Amino acid sequence: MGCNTMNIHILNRGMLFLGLTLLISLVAIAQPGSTANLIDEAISFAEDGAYDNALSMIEPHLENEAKHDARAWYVAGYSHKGRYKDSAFLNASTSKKANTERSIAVIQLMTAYELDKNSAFPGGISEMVEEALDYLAKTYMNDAVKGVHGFQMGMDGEVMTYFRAFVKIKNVISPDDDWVREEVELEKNLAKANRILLESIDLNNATSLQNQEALFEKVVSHYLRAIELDGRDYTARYNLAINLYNRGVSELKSIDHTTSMFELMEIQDICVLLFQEALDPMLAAHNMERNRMETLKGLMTIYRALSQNEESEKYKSLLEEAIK
Amino acid sequence: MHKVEIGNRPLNNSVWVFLAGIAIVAGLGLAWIQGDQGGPKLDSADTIAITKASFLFQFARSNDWPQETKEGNFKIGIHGNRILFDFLVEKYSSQSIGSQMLEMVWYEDAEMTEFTHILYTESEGDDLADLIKSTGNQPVMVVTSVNGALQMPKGAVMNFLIQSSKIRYELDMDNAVLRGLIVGNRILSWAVTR
Repeated sequence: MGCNTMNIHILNRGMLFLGLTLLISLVAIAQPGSTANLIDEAISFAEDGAYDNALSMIEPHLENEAKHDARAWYVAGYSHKGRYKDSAFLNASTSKKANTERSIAVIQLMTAYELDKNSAFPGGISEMVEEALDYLAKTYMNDAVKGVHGFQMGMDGEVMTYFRAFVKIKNVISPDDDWVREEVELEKNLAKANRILLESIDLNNATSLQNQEALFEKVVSHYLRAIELDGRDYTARYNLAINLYNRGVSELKSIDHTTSMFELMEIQDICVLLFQEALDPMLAAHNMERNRMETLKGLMTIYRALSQNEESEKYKSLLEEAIK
Repeated sequence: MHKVEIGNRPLNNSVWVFLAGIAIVAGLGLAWIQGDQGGPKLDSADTIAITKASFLFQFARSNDWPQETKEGNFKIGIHGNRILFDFLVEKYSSQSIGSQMLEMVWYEDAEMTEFTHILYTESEGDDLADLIKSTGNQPVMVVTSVNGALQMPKGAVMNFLIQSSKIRYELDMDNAVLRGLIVGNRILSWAVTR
């Protein structure tokens, strides 16, 4: 264990040494006081972990004489990445300071990447920039995953922001890769996270009722987005149908001795609407996988709730066949 | 020549976070798949029974019965739907109608063996006729659930039917009056006609 850690440590040092030595060799012919010399000095600071000094040296020149210098942007981005890592280690990767450092690092590294690609001698520092950007992309994905696992009400936007930042970087460094499948899974997981919160809500509280409605809308919207992204996703359709149906049942179960006749009629209208909304995605899921017992049971149940007994019996027979 | 000290930074501040990131992203696919494992489970509650039970409670609460029936418990008899009976017991058995405690009575056979203020049945044809006959002219609100027939079953006071996938009820006012029942305004106003 200790030996492995030491090896990784040495490897890490070696890679950084090679990268920065290359950078230094590129500016070795620099004249004192020139942009190249400034970059050289900034590198020295960055190497020492003195990111603040490196940035105060290089950043004032990024909008002027170093505007088109890929190496200058790389050193700046690298330094912000270093500050992000420090901040993430001390606080959290999603703290305001860490987030700001990471965002700036990404912008500067992407600029370096573009400048390097379009320079007279492209590819000089691309590999180093890609490595740095890839690292930052993974931290964004890491935060998206952590956001889902520790989900709290209203975190949907934040989680999606991290994921989009991940995709944005990946689209630059690996333009041929496709991240739609991951986005579909993220949407489904966000739907699930909202549903779990919804199920834990205390129904005897007025504020909770408002939250309940908001959470349910989120569940539905995440599944709809997953379906929009991938028209062949079975589980998104099935889960959407179940959530809509269960919501209707939950409304019915809320009826008690305090419910008036008017409210009873109103609740029944809402329920039937939800059951009808559940039917389309359940039928679509069934058409994708016609022998899945869960969809056959779902259709049997939804049709029965809609008092369409002939249809309900039809799926009951199919379910019995499937069980045999 | 520069001294490359940058690599001397503590391992947990760079490589550690980097490796953790890789590990989490590499395991991401599995994590998402696992996420779908805990999908929602279909609520198998009988929605028709819940709705009918809610209506029966409204019928009990919003209609009126002759004075001689206002002693003892207020009874709702159920024939032919055990789930509905169980749900009524679970949800409403602790409630009262006026000063009378609510009591559910289960009828195994198509015969009203003891007086109930409301008698709900899912029988049709001869069974239904026998059951209605067993109520005589007593102030019993017979509630049926015959959807396919052209008209309300003879002798029933209320009948559940389906309109646009919703459960509604029709009312035979003459029969209600004949049995000495006073139908409440709310119940009257929500009754449908074919």
